[in-house]
Amino acid sequence: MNVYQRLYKGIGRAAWGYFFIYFDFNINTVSIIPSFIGYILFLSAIDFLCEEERELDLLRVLVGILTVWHIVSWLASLVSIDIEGMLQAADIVIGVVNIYFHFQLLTNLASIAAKYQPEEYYLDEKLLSYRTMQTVLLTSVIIIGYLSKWLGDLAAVTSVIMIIAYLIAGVLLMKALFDLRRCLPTDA
Amino acid sequence: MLDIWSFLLQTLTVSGVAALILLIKALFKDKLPPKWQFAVWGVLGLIMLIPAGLFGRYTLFRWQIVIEMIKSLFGDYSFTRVYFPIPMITSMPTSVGDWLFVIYVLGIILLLFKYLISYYRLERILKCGNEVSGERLSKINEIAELHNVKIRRVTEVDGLPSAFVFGVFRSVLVVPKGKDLNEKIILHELFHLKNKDTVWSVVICLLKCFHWCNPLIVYCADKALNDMESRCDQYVLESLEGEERREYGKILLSMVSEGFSKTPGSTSINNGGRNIKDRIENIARFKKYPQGMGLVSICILILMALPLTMGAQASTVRDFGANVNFDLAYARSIPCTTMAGAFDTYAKSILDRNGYYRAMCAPENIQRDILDTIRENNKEGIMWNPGLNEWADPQGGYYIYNLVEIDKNTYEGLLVVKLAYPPNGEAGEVNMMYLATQDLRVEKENGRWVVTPLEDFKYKEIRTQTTAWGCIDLPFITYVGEANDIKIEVTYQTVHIVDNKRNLNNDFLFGVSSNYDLTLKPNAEFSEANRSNYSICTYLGDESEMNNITHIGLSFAPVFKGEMRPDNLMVPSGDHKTTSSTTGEQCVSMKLYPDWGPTLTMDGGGGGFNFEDVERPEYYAADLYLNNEKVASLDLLLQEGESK
Repeated sequence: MNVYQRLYKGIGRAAWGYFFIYFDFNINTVSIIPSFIGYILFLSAIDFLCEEERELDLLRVLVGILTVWHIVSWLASLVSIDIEGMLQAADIVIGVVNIYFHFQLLTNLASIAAKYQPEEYYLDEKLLSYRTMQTVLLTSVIIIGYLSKWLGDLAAVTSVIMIIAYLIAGVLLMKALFDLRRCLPTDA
Repeated sequence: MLDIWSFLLQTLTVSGVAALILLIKALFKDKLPPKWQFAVWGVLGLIMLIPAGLFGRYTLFRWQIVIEMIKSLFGDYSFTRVYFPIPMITSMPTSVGDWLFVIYVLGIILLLFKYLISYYRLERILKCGNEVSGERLSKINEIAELHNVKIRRVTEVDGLPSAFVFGVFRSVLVVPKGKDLNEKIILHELFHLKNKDTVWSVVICLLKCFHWCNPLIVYCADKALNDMESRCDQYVLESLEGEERREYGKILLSMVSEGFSKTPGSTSINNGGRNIKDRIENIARFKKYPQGMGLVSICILILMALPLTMGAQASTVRDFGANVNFDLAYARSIPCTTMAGAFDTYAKSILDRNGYYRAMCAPENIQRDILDTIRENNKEGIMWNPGLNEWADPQGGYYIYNLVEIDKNTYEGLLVVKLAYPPNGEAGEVNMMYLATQDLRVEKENGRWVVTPLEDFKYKEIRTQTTAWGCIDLPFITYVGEANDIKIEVTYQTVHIVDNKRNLNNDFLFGVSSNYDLTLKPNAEFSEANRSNYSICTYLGDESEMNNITHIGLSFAPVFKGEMRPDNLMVPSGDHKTTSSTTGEQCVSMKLYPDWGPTLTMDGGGGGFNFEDVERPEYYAADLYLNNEKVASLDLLLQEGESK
C-alpha cells in the first residue's frame, strides 16, 4: 500500500467516523448509529495516518478511552440505563478527552491537507476553522447545560441553535474530508 | 472549618479533585503545553477556597456519607458543615476530636512560621547585596527588553549558586556576585518576573499549609511549583534555537545534585534533583504547539472547573439494610437546601412512612431518637411511624397551608395530607375527604433546613374534592372591622404546593397518565401558590331595623407592608355577584331577603399568586355598600390570636 492509498483509506475512515459521531438516530433509547463505531473508525484512521503525522500516535490512548466509554454507554442503553451523569469524575474525563481528541485529530488532518491538497483548495484552512468551531460549540453546549438552571428558557433556545450549528459544522467537516480524499491520486 | 470533621470533609473533597487532576494531567502529559499543566492547578486552588458541601452540593464523591458514618460510630449525630475553607477554633477543646483539630491548627501555625522565618532570612541576606550596575545591568536590561519584561531592581549577592527572583510585591531579580551571567538562566528568571510567579509561590505555599497533613495535597503543591518552573523552561526553549536548547538542558542537569531551598515569595531555576529530572524529560519532549492550542487549553480548563466548582446535588437515600446507623448517616449527608425542600421531605416521610427521609429534615437533637425509633420499629416489621396512626394516601399528596415567615430563617405552615381511610376505623362517607393536619416549623440549623412538628396530628373530615385551592374548613386568619352596625370579617388562607406530578407515559389513545412522585426533592422550590378569601358580615344593630337592609355589597383589597392604601376599590353591582382580581382584590354583592341575619357568609374568591411571597397582608382596605350606596370605607385589621 503506497502513501496515497494509506492516506485515502485513513481520511475516508475519519470522515465516516464523523458521520457516526455527528448523527444519532434512536429506537427508544438505543442508537442505531452508535458513536463507538465512529471511534473504532478513528482508531483505524490513526493506523493509516500516523506515519504521515507522528503526533497522531499520541491520540491512541484517548481514542481507546472514548471507544470503551461509548461501547459501555451503548450497551447500557440496551437495558435503558443512561450512564452519563452517573459518575461526575468519568463525565469530566470523557468531556475533556473528547474536546482534545477532536481538536488534535483535525489539526493533524489539516496538516495532511496542507501537504497534499491542490493549490487554491484551502482545505487545511477549512478544517482548522471547523475544528475551532467544533471546540467552541462543544464547550458552549456543555457550559449552557451546567448553567441551564439559571438561564431558564434562554438555555433551551441557545442549546438548540448551537446544536444546529454543530450539525452544520459536522456536515461541512465531512464534506471537507471527502474533498480531501478525492484530491489524492489513488492510482499512483 | 470549625472542627476536625469539617476539615476532613474539606480535605477529602480537595483530595478527590487532586486525584482527578493528576489523572487528567497524566493523560495530557505529552499533549498539552506546560502553561496548561500549571494553570490546571488553579482548578484545585479554586476547590480549596470553596467550602465543601456548600449549598448541599458535593464534588466528585459524596464524602459527607463517609464523614457522617464515622461520626455516627462515635455517637455524634450533628451535621457536618464547612463554613470557611480556613480553620478557626471557636471553643475550648473537650473531646479527642477537638484536640486533634487543635493539633491540626498548630501544624498550620508552625508551618506558616517556618515559611515566614525563611522569607525574613532571605530578605536579610539580600539587604547585604549590592545594586547591579554597569555592563552587567545593561546585559540584563537588554535581555529583558528583548522579551518585554520590566525589571524594578537587580541585586547581586555573594555566594549564591544561581539567580532567582524574590519578593511578593516589589520583586527583585537577584544574581550571584562575581559569577558570569548565564543568559538562559536570567531569561528563565525574567519569565518568572513577568508571570508574577513569586505571588503564585506564596499562594501555593499558603494553600499547602491548610492541608499540611494531607500527603496528596502536599505532593500536588510541590508538583504545582515544579510545573511553574517547567512553564518558564518552555518559554525559554521557545526563544532558543537548536544547540542552545540542548545547552539549557545541560545547565539544568548540572544542578541536579546541588542543594536548594524552598522559600515562599521566591523562585529559583534549581528546585531539586527529582524535579529537575522531570523538567529535563519535559525539555526532551519540547515542541512548538499548534495555533489554537490556547483555545483548547482554555476550553479544557473550563470543562474541568465548571462541574467541579458547581458540584452535584445529592437526592437519593439508600437502604443498606444491615446497619440502620449507616443508613441514617447516609440520609444525614443529604441536607435540605431549601425551605420548600424541607417541607417536601417531611411530608414524604409521612406519606411514605420513611424514617430516612425524616432524618434528612430532622434537627440534630432528635437524630438519636429517630435512630432508636427506627430500630424499635424494625422489630415490629415496620420502618417508621411518623406519629400518624392512620395511613396517609401517598397518591393524595400534601399541601402547605398558611405558610408564614417568622423570621429570615424560620417559617411556619400547616401540613395537610389526605388519609387513605377514615380515622379510628370509622365507616367512610361518599364525597367526604379525610385529612390529617399538623402545624410545622421549618428553620435553618447548621446551614440546612430542618422541620419540627409543633403539635400532634389532627384529623378533619371535609366535603370537598380538592384542597389545592383552599378550604373553609381548614385554618385561616381573619381581618376584622366594623361600620354602620355591621362587623365585617375577611378570611385569608394560602396554599403552597411543590410540583410532584410525574408523567408516566403519553399514550396515543388514553393521553398522559401521571402519579404522585414520592422521590426526594431536598432542593425543591414551591411551584404554585393559591390564596383564598371568604367574607362574613354580621349585623350588630337593632334587630327590628335589620330588614331595612335589602342589599349588601363589600369590596376589599389586601394592603401589604409599605404599600399605599388603594383609592378606588371595585364597586359591587348585581344581586349575587363576586368579582376578584389577581392582586387579591375582591368584590361581593348580595340581595338580602327578610330575616337574613344576623350573620351572612358571602361568596369566596381567590387565585394564584407569586409562590415566593409568604408575607401576609398588613390589613385589608374595604368599602361597605348598603342598599347600593357606599356607606363606609374602613380598614380591616388582623384579628390577633384567632384561627379557625
